[in-house]
Amino acid sequence: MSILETKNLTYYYQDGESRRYILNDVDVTFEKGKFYTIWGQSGSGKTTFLAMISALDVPQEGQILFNGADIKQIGYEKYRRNRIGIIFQSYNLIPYLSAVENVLVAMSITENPLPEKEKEVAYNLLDYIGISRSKADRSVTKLSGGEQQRVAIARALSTNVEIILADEPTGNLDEAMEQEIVDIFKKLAHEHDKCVVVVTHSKEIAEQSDVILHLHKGAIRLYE
Amino acid sequence: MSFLKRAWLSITRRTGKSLLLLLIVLILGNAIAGAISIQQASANVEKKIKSDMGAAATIRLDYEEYEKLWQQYQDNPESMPTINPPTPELMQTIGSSPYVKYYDYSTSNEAGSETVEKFTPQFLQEQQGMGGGDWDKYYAFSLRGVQYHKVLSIEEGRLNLVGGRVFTEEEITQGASVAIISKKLADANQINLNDTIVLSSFIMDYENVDANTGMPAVVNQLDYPIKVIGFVEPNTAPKTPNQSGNREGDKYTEAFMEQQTANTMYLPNGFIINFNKQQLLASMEANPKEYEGVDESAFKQTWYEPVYILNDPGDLERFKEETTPLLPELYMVATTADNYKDIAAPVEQTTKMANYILIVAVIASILIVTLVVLLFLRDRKHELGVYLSLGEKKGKVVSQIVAEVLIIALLGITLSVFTGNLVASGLSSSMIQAQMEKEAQNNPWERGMSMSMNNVDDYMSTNLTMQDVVSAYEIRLTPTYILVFFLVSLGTIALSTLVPMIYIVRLNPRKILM
Repeated sequence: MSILETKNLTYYYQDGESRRYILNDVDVTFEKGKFYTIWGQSGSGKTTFLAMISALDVPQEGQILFNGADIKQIGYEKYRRNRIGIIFQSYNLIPYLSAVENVLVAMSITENPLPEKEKEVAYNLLDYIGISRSKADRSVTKLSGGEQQRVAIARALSTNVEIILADEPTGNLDEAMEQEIVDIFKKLAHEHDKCVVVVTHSKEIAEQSDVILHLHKGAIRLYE
Repeated sequence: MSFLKRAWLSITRRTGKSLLLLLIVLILGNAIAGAISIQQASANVEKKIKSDMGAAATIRLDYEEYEKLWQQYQDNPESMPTINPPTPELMQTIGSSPYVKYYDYSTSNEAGSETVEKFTPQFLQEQQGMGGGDWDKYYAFSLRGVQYHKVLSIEEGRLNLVGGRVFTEEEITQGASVAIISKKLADANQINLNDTIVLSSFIMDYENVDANTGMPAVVNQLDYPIKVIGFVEPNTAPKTPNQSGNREGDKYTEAFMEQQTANTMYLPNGFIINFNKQQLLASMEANPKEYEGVDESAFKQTWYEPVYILNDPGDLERFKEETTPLLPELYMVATTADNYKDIAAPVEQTTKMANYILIVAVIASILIVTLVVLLFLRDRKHELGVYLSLGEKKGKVVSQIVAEVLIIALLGITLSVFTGNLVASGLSSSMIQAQMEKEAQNNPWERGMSMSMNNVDDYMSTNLTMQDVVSAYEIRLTPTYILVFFLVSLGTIALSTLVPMIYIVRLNPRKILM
């Protein structure tokens, strides 16, 4: 049973009379418990696709269905708040807050039911992702890139969502750190039944995913 | 973590920026607080001084309008429209206004006497050449008409009835030959209550002047026996102009005022109207050439000087507004408050400056705070994008920023309440002092002088001076000032957050974060 589905997803830039298609009639289905990668060269429209399914941008045509419901009907803001967690290449943490506070921000925004002791949950989540308690209390600006990305992953997970969307999450990390992050994604998909969708240009990462979707000239194809 | 907690953490952890915003608000707040302090102090001084001036109004010719009319017809004065003074009926109608406590309207004249001698204060007697000579005999006494039988000045407490009684309504209606005179005049002439004195109207022939005395020949004398029914004394010594720096001059003024008060007699209007009429008829008979063309119609109009005492000085403006439409052409309502502008120039100038400062400070604050907050927001674009990507409602993101600005502003504004008050105190003292100097240079006579040397019946002028106004001027921390300042400042800050709010609403998280 698919959790996320795109139907005739189309996105283009109007250039005078002509249109430059970034995504053209894209139909894809995502399921829980799987680690997906959207793979393609720079400028192939990977990030645009992720922006669509994370409701950070709106397609000109087509639909995005979450559990069969159009996210437009759910409400883009509400969809982001309660249904997905997003991880960015440059982490995008709030610099004057500590790691645990960054996680708590997301927990305070979601309307999903969460355990009462939120702070304790945030610490445990960070610990699970590899951020110790002492580091969790530090300002995020004092953490390494890998650690910051782990905090971003913990933040995405903290709202108890089923879909994790990541845009080049290892783009700023060295190889060793890259692998650690990929391992976390695998674990989230396989052990925690999350639907993990990662946009990457790295073939190495793509090859470690369960499903590779190759984006080329506005069309998406299963890569085998 | 609610948006309020986020706001608080942002303030406390981004201390440099918070302090910078605080400093800006503090500086601008001081300008606003200073200006409002001065405005409030001016409003208080205006209220106090106007209250001290009393709540009196009169109806008089609008001299400026009359002058314009006169210039219009100066080549052809015969065709100038007749000026109709307010009738007694109109003055009574105006007197029935709910703002009026009591009122009176007076006609007046002067009279002499063969038997009653004018009261002259000791100081004037000692001065050579200060007596009026024979003129004193012919025009010794001011006759003041009364319509309000209880006598306005007695009711107002300016005069004390120290013997006898006030008029009866019948005496007023009939224009009876009865008078209330000053105790000083009575004592000087051994006049007792219910005595009859004789006032005279002397008709002069001004073409026949004695070469030695310079006095015109008396061609007729009309005598009026008057029964004295009451004695009055001024409630307080007549106020003299103070701080004029001329003590000898003050003594003269004081003595003249004492003389004027002592030689005023109060009689029913009806009596004085008849007195005036007989005087005019006799003059016409004695000087036919001079009164050529004057006929009986000259008696139809009586010029009264009405005085309305209102319940509250605060009602003066409303009374003026409601009464003006009822008046004949070229007439206007003058109030005691009109004098305020003349003596309050330094304070008014300072207030005007404060108004400009306030307007400039508010506009500058809106612009500066808007720009500073916008700059800070540009710096925090990623943070705002993160909130939006996490699904935070734009309203809450806006609320967080507004809360941050308001918390810092509130602290800055609260500090400004006190510092601004101090600034205003120092600033306004020097501004007023400078204005006083300027006024003194422009008009040295009026510095510290009263507007006129008023007597007990003069309700329209004031003894208050610029110095009184300046003394009453006080910068204070009043609840009104604090309330007005907070409202203006917070309103300014709220306006300053409008553009930043629009900026946040228009943010596109994809463009920021991806």
